[in-house]
Amino acid sequence: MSDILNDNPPPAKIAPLRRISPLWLIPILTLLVGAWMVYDDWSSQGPLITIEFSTAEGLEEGVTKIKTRDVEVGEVEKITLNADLNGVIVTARLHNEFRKLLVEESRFWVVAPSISLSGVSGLGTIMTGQYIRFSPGKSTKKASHFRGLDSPPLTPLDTPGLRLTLTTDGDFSFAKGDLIHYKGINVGKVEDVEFKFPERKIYYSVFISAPYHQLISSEARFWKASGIRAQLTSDGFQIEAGPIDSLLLGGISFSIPEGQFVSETVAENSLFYIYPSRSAIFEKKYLFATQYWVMIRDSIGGLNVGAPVMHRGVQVGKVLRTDFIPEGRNLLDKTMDIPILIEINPGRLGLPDSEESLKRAITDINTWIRQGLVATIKTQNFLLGSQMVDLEYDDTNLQPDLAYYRDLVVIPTGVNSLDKFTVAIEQFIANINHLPFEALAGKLDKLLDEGAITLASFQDMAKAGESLMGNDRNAELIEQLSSTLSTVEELAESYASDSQTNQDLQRTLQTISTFLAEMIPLITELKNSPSGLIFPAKPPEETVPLRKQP
Amino acid sequence: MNLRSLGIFLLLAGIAGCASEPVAVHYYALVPSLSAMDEVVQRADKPTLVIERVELAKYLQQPGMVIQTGSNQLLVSKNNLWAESLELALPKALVRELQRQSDDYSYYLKTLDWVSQTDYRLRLRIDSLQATAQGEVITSGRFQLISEHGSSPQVFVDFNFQRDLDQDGFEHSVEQIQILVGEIAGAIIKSTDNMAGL
Repeated sequence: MSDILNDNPPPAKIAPLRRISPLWLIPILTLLVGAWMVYDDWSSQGPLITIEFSTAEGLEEGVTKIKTRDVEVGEVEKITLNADLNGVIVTARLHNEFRKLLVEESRFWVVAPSISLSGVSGLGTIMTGQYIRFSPGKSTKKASHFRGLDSPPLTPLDTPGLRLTLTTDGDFSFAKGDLIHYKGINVGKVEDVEFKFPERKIYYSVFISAPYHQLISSEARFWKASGIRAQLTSDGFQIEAGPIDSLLLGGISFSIPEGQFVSETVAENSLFYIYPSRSAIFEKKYLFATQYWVMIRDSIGGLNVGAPVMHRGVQVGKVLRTDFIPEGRNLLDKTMDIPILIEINPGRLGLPDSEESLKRAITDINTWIRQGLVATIKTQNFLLGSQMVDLEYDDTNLQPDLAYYRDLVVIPTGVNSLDKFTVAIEQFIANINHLPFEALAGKLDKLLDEGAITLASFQDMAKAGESLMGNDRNAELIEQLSSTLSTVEELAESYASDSQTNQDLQRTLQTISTFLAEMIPLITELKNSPSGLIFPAKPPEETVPLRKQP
Repeated sequence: MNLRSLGIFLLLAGIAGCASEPVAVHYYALVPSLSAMDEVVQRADKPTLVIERVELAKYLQQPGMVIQTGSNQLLVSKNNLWAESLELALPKALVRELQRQSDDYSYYLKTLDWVSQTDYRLRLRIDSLQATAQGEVITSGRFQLISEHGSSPQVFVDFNFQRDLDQDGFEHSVEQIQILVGEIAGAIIKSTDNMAGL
């Protein structure tokens, strides 16, 4: 007890205190792990990109996915209006492994259900919701801001094939998505349409998919694939229809004209011309031509621009203008000749298509005109009423001096066969009118009287006619009759079996006959089933010949 | 998707619903192809037989092939057609058969060939040339053979030939019809020989 209450306790042992408790390791380690986790999370995050769209229809923050080839590659995080309030900026984060795909040419568009004449697409998004489709580009330049497309691109960038530029100056046009056909197969599409104002021409960017792009060579000819083409020819009534999609959508077809050799394939974006029809691709283009006027006093109805100029049955040129009214004149003036501008191509005359040939052709044609070459308007097709210009010789129409109009030589106008026919008919009727029938009867009676003097009946007739005789115009009558018969003979000759008129008539009648024969089954079908043209009934089983039963 | 697109889709679907299955049309040629025939060279110094006219029964003048289903009942096929109308093809087929069977004469078609001298003229009328529902092909008619020489200038021969079909279908019946044309040619040659005294 005394020890405990001792006033002098023993001195305390003083030991140095530890500065950091080992317990601190725990929060420090925790902090490090946390930091590592934050870094790991941050470093594993994908790139943040912004895409500008015109509207955010169907897009939702945190919901809308970004996909490529139906694989999810990211998600929309934020949608805001742009500074001008005329669009939206979609902020999205892609998964890290797709970072390298974000280059300048990458394209984004919203996939939504769509039904159009070109097809149905995006129906799956009705159930899954809209998403943003991502198409990686080929560029090596990285990018993080993109402008989204308003509609899906017709052809993804990496699609194998060939892009071409087509143009036309015809009165027809095509739209984005119109199809390109080759022998009825869809081989490509119109991707873009551009109207160039200085040239007033439309240029089309089209894409021909692989492997059909190998078909394109410098000899390829493109034409407008019309839906239905009807043609009335000597072979009958022909209707050609393109593929059903071209009937609905229109489109462009191409081919290599027969007889052309296929050369090597063409370069990207090569330029081709679109012809208005398939038949037009076979028309040879002539570079050189000489022009002439033909003055027509009669009607030029049926003579259209492009109508053929024929010589001995061969086309040597075409009509260029039919609507020219000379200055200071008008059609109220009955004496006005209507000028028709025609051109003649040396190439069509069998000469080379060159400037030398042109000079030679001009010299020769002018000589022909001096020697009686005349131009005549003739019927090209009786059914359609189309006309053409025919160049032929008329020995009675020699022209020592050439006539000029507006610095071009005028080819004299001849009388066409219809006019000749009309003139002959008029002459014939006039001769009939002028026939002295009374004198003719008198002459006849006299002849009968002389030839059948023993026949009493003839004698009576002759006696009855004698009162009408004694006319000095008998000789004139014979002459008139002879002239009339001569006219009739000329008429008959113009309709001889080998005449042009006769052959034209024969051809026309044959065409009508063939056409009617081909229409008989259709008419019979319609008679039996009036609605059959629109709602064809299922054809009944056809009876076929069966072998003889033993 | 707007209403216009939907309307067009429904319209197209409606039109497509009206469409029917395409019907296959088969064409048959009466004149055998050149590869099936030996080359024939006619000599100009032979007596000439000119086929002046071949007249077909009205029902044979349309393109559909005919099956006789009863004694007075005919059925015209809509999907099995002559590639060339019988009016044009039959004279040519007949000339081929005549050339194949006898080279004692030179044979010509008045409508196609120009002949400087005619020794015999032929006019043929075909009343029937078709398959029947009894498994046969038949032909009947009459021909008139006119000689430009001799004391018996013309003969009339009525003919009636038939053959059994061994197979089903129009193709086989066309082959049998070709044989029938050959039998007509045989009858013509026989009459011509008789007339010529051969």
